[in-house]
Amino acid sequence: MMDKLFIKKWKCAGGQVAGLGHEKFNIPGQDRVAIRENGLIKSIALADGAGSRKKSQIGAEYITNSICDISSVKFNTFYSYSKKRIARRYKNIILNSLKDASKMHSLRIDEMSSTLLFVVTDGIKYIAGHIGDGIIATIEKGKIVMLSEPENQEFANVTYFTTSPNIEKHLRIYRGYLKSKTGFILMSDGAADGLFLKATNTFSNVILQINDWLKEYSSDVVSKAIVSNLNSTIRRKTQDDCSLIIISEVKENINLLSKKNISYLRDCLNMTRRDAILKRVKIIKYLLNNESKKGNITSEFGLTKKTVAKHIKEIKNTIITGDN
Amino acid sequence: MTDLKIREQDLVDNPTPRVPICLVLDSSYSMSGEPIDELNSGVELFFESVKNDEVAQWSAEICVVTFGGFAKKLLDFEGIQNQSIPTLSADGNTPMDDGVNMALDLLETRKREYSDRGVDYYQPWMVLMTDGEPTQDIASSVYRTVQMIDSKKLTIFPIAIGDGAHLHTLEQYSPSRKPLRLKGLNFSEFFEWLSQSISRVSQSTPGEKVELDVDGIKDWAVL
Repeated sequence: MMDKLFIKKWKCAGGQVAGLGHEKFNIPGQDRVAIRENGLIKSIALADGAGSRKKSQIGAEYITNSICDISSVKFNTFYSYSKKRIARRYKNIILNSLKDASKMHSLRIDEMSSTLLFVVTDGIKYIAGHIGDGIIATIEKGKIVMLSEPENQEFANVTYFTTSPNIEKHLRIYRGYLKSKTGFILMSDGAADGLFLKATNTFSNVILQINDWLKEYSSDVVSKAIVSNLNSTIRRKTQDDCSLIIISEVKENINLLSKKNISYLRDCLNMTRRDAILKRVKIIKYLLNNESKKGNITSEFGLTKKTVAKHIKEIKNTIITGDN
Repeated sequence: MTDLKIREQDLVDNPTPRVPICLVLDSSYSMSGEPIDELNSGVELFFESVKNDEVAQWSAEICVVTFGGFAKKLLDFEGIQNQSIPTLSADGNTPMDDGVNMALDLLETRKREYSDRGVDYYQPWMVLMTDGEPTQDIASSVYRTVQMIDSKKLTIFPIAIGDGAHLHTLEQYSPSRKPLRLKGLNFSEFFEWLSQSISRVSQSTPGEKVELDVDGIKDWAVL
């Protein structure tokens, strides 16, 4: 039975780089990404600043941070609303965020236009939102599936932005239970140039490759790898800025935990202190080998009953049964 | 441990977004001699400039329509790598309405082909150059052109060649952008400016308003 126990965790990784076209004209990159983890609730957001607005990266930064900060606290409340009400809430988050940015940086709101893509999940259900171009896709049973397409107008350099009139018509909201979804990917249109083939509506398997990195490496390591690959390879397919975030369910066989490195365990167990991580792994191993002797943990590890109860509760919250 | 590197061959290749440009050029009898020779040099320079631009060469698609005696499609839209530079000759009267209507039809057909093949494109450009007055009613082509410009589906550059061309006629095609008169026979300077403008468009990203080189206009236009 113990060999079919897994720790389930949703891990996030992502980053952005300036486009070759922007570098040529000495314009800073205008894409921004944000990631927040609040217990079981994970929020990711990506915004692509409008090319003509010189400070659009400021707007992109503010709205991605606000969307993630508020979503990680209000997710369950928002999920209980109708889609229309969810859209109104997010529209207000966007506008308030841009007003804050406007005050702080003495900019007009329209100077900070951007597209917006976001996903929030608690591992059971999700909310996603999309304004403009870029793509939101999901991973389901090993395949990449389009969730939200780019909304372009007729021409290549025209799309909708957070400051466009009638934003409520162009803010697309998706929500539901995850069911067989085990991952979400957000990509800007620049990144999509190398990852999504428009003629056949198919994705590059590079996305699954990046997804698999999260099964072996910590989120930090994968984020750095994403940025490195955006820089060296993906942005060569376009002149535009490129950004990508992935959130993925990772299942780790409990029996293999002690073989993993500390940075991976830090991520997997959502703990920061090395000594606490090592203790948790030992407790898990002890429980695996001595299931009938749970009561002896306090003496075995020299811990108080309260501490042991906390460890067991947190282990139970993250352990699932099932095949790998 | 897995290598954290992506191979370029595992990425997909999407076609570059296209900029369709239609040159609608007066080749009537009055263009004979030096004007048509200079226009041919300018067109040749334009093609060479675009071919040598690392971004525009993959993006710009050029079509040439002439109107001299009758409207003629001298060159259809295609990747510039596959095109031969056309040579214009001057003859006949000035059927400008037929020329512009033909150009608009070709642009619409090309946009449909882009959509059918999943190719993105920028707003099309039309360059209309004439040295005289049309010898037919231009109401239908003016109506179509202005409709497209008003709904932001087309950008037009109306250029008058010499003193015989009336700016008033060209103004009818261009409600927002004033027509300009070419300085002498400075076709080469105009087409050099045009190829650089196309390069800027080819590199533009969503939300970017492409700023044309307004300063550069004085190299080829009477301001």
